[in-house]
Amino acid sequence: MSDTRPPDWIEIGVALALLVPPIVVVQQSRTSLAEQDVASGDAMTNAALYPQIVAALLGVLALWHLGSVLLATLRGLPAGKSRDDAANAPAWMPVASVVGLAGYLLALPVLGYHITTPAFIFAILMMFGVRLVQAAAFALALSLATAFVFEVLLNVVLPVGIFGIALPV
Amino acid sequence: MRKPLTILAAAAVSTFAVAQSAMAEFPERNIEDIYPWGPGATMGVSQIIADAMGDELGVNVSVVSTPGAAGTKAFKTAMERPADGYTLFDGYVAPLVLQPLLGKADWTYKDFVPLWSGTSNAFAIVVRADEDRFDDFEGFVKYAQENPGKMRYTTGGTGNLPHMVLAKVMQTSNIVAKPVPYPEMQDGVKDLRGGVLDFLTSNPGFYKTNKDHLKVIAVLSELDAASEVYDGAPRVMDFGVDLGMSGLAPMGWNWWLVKKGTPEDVVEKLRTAMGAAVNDPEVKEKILNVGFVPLGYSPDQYDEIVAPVAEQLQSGIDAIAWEKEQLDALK
Amino acid sequence: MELLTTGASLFLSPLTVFLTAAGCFLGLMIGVLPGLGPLMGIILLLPVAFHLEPVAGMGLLIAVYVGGSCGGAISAILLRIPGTPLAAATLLDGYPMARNGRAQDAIGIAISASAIGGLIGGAVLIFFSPFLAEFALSFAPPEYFAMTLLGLMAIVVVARESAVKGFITGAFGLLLATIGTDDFTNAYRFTFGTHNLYNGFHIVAIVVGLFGISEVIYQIRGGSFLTKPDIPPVRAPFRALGIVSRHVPNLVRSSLLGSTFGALPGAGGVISAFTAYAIAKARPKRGEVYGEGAEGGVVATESANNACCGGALIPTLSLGIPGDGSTAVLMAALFLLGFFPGPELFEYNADVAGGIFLAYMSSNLFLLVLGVVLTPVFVSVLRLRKAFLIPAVMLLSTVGVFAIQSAVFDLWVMFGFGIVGYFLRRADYPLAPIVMGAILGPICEANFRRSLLISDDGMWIFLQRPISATILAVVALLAAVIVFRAVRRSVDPERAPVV
Repeated sequence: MSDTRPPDWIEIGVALALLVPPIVVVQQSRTSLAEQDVASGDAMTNAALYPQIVAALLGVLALWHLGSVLLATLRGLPAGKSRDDAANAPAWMPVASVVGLAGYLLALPVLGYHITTPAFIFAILMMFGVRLVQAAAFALALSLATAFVFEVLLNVVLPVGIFGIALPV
Repeated sequence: MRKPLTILAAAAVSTFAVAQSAMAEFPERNIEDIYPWGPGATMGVSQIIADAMGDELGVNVSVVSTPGAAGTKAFKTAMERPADGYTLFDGYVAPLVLQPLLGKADWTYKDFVPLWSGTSNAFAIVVRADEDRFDDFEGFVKYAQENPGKMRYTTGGTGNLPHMVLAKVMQTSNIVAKPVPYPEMQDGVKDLRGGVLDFLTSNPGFYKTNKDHLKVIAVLSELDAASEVYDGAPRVMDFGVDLGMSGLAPMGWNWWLVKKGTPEDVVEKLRTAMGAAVNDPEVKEKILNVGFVPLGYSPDQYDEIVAPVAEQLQSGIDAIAWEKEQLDALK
Repeated sequence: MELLTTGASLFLSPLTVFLTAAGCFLGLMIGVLPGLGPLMGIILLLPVAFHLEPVAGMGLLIAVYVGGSCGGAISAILLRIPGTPLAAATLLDGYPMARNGRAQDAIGIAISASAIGGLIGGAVLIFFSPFLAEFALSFAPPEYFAMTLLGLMAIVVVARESAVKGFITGAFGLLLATIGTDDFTNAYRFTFGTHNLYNGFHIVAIVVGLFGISEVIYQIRGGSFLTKPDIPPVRAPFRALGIVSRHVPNLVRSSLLGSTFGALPGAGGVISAFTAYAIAKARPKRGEVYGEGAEGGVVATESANNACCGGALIPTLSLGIPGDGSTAVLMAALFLLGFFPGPELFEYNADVAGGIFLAYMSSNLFLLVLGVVLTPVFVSVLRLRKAFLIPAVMLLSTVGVFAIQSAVFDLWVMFGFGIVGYFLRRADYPLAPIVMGAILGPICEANFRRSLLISDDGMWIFLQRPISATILAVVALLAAVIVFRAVRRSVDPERAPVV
């Protein structure tokens, strides 16, 4: 274990990604905030000062961390403690779920809650290998029970979509 | 297993039935009032009207708090919704009139279909009850003139309505003080009492809760009703200062609206329901208890009431610009 | 005491007592739903309260407040989704406990500690209210700024992961809070031209995404969707009280911390929960490892959390200045019922004030009873096979977040932070500092800038005032300890190879 180890791509990738917010803050302060004339002056008029202080802090820390990770990789030091990332499911499943959730969120305002939700839940259940009838029944029951709690009991207006479907009040 | 399935089937059928009756009579589902500020007493006032209106319509009218960008977020959110009468604008003066004047919104008050007006609340200049440097408006002005830029105050946010009205008064009286923003007004009240601030513009709610610890220097309105809310405190005009704003202009108020293009019959129904709600004596009394004044203007009076407000607020915008110049000069 | 006897006449009507119990139950349930916390619960029940007698109405709402503040812990423990942002602290040890098969104990402890913390908070409320209210008034912008730094330090100290990573995610949270309309200049900051960002990201959408959605992805990776979960047998209901009784010093200390911090309008909740946790962690009982399912961790955060409710009522009732969003709405409710909080309430409407206080105390008692009775029901959620649990969690998270302000945009925020949270977890970054940073960020910035505005000597104002200088000294000390530890590690990599 102690002689070599593969680079920890997630660790390096996350450290790199954490450099993005500071860059955005500096870039926005120079452009958008400067155009609105709020990037200079005293505490009253300078809306860019505080974010830049925090961004500088984040940037320095992220760089320091990135440096130490790279250094450790080069020296071939053993990895830190093992993470609880036991992956027994096929790799496509988490990806498909995330894509599915995105699809659900896209369809929700268009088709409305009562069409998209049972369909989405049903799809997830089928992916997990639940039997067809059971999946259909659970999808419908869960969707209606949730709608009942939120629409009827809590008076929340769930997305009705272009067909304007809602539970009767 | 049989029973749940039966319930399920019944529920499925009823959902379908609703889908079928989509063209049935308005309203057949809950209505949302998009309210532009965070939760608090003012939201409670909208809630009173919403409840009464819901009772008239037979559905629930919920008040959805959507704060952001001086109320414009709420307006933009409501504008994205279809013009079907299920989304109401809680048309507070800031997003309705003020932000367009400041060039921060691309609509005017004419772009909406009015229902009834809601309530108004007047602002007042208040100081600590044990303030001993001055005891009335004249003394206050004198002290401020002797100490230009030294006194600290808040009106909540910067460039908001009370800031305009106060800046106007200060411009007329030729006094300059330092504004400190407190987006959460209650923190400002705390810091006034703690001695960080010298004065602030209170609304009736903060006045009523801190009555024993605050003293009203002057009410920022020419209306008698406004003075009554502050227990008969004098108005600025009682000290011979011309506020330069009349009627609703120096006050916070709201007018409920719907989007243009909402079907006539839907608008009519909403108007009838809201008219009944705001004219209900019980509703009025509840609103008065909180220190807000029910307005009772009908939809036809919208243009006549709102147009002069838009004109007069411009002088407040100029007053803030004047204040900024004076403060820069003092640096 | 006179207050209580006059209050009793108003409170002790069957309807009021029933409504208080019902409110506690509803609050607990609403708190359990991801996204919906005490604030939403109170807003949703406000219309009902309007139609009631003042003390009955307030009793209902206060009970919702108490129940909702505790309910958030239950989903944090069972599903790793903090029902409310505050429960992010309870998750640190509560979820590991559930993973170790001690879900019932964890929930039992959380509820008992909440209830007892709440009762202690109530005692503080009744006896020290005027004193703490004066104390709160002495906290000006520089002190608030120093407090937020202290809160952020506390969370870095408690993180199981490395301090550098804690600072990184904390700073990330602070940056998230700067998105939206700047309150001082009214400028649009980092909004990229969309009105959806005019008020920044909603904290609840961030929290549910970071914890809930990322956990869903983890669970899906884990596989075995159809195996029946192995659930330990249900234990004697009042066992949890026995466990809590072994943590009395921790319980009392955390509750006192909670009610003291709670009395400071605005900053109380999160700071008290994490500070109480940090102190408890520094004095572990034998055999307890914090972050891996220590009972003391749940005791500390939950008692502080609910004692803070009583604390937050102090400025609300005695100063007329609400401590947080929930108390702001509670105060509005009092208004609408025709009473004005503030010292006058105690003077002229002692019966109402006493009734409200009794409602608060009995809510905590009901919480204890209800919690004990309902714990097996909550735990039975874990009996669900993963294939059914995962979609249910996804749906409840989605609908719960949507319900806050009926915005589909918030769902995308939740989605985005789900992915961010997943990768941060994969890389061993602590997530709680993000929540802390995002909640404290606006308080930190506004008071930093306000301090500079009221200062005659620029930054020196922070050191010229005794309270703020003291707090900042503590912050500096903590920072020194953290840096010293980090440096020692990098010098001696065998101790902890990766920084």
